[in-house]
Amino acid sequence: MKRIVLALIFLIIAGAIVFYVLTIPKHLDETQLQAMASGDAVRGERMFWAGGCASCHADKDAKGEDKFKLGGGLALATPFGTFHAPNISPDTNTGIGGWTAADFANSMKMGVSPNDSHYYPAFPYTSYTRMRIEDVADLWAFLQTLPAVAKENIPHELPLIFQFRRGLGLWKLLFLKDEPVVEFASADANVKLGQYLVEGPAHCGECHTPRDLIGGMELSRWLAGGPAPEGDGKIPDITPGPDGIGSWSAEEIVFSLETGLTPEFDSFGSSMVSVQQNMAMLTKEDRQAIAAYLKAIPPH
Amino acid sequence: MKKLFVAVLAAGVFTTGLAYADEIADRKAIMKQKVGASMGVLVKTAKGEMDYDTAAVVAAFQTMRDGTEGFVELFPAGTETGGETTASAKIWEDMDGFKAAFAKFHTDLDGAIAAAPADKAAFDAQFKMVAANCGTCHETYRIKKQ
Repeated sequence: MKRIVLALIFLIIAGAIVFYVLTIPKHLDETQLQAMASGDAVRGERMFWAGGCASCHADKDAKGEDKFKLGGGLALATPFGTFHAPNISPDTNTGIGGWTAADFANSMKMGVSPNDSHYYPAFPYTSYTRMRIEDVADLWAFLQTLPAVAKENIPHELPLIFQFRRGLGLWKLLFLKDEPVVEFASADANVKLGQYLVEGPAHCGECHTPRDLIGGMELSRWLAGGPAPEGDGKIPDITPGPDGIGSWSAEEIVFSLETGLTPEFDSFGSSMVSVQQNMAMLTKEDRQAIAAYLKAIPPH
Repeated sequence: MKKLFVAVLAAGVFTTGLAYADEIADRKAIMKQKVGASMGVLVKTAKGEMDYDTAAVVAAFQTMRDGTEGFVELFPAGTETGGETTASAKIWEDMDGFKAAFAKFHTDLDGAIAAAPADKAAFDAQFKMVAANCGTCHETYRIKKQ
């Protein structure tokens, strides 16, 4: 009996150590962080729009210049609870004014906060992790030029089991990967640029790819649509498949990203309206690259 | 008696369901036939795929305006779901806001009709203003749709 008890105690301690080690937040190393010193704010605006920062972090109804006020705003109602996008304006007390460039890079690419806890993947770092560190540096430089907004964060509303952030370390072992999603035998530069934008900063897959029971993207159904991960309704398939947008020409995809109007003369709705307004701020070349990529990916 | 009761009940459920289905179907038909079809003319004009014709674009604006008269009345209680509707619950949570958004659409359409844009440049400005209403309204009042 005594031996069984001892064995159990041993197992529990061993399990706790394994859990502890597996869930240790990981950071970028010094070599990777070197690029953070040379960020350029002018270039960074492109990443700001590609990344869609304003869609979650600005006020929900923000238009025009107000999209640069990133005091936090959107509530994401998900099956796991409601997440409130935090203040990422340069305000020192309520925003990220006290952060270092390394803090920002680790949040974007590793999903780790400055106080060394895991972020919930409602913040789409599973896509941002594919961003080039130089682009993260430019975005960091740009964010610092934006107005400081003094606004306290609203705590997330989550069931007790999800309030224990350490466990996200296991989730990240499964789902935080920075390799490209789609493998092209050969792809032209345009498709490759589109791949970078779609799979990285623009994080299209975060909504357009269905998720499994524990909230990871099902990469085998990349961009095939499914139940909305937040809010109501269904997200469309944007692959060239029969249920997707195979009937749209590349030009029509570009036009829809510019205007919010589909080839059927319908308009985008729901959260895609804000996303489209971001896409409209990119260059035509970037939109054409996105379209070229969407025409080239496997159909579903 | 019991049979009669069941029959009446069934008929009631059936006709109520039917009436609601009608409103949902009407909403969709108006959006597709009156708004969507007009948008076809306007978008093609905007893209330069159709030659600029003042009479044609004013007619399209007018079809959109007349075709959507009373549209906001097609959302009575009980038509929140069913018939593959993509109407958002927010319509019923904020009926005044929904009606105001639609009223703005009508105001912009009235402006475009009255302006009767003489050339493509004047048209582009009017069209941009009218078309912005599509996204603004659908952003809040329509759910994500497949």
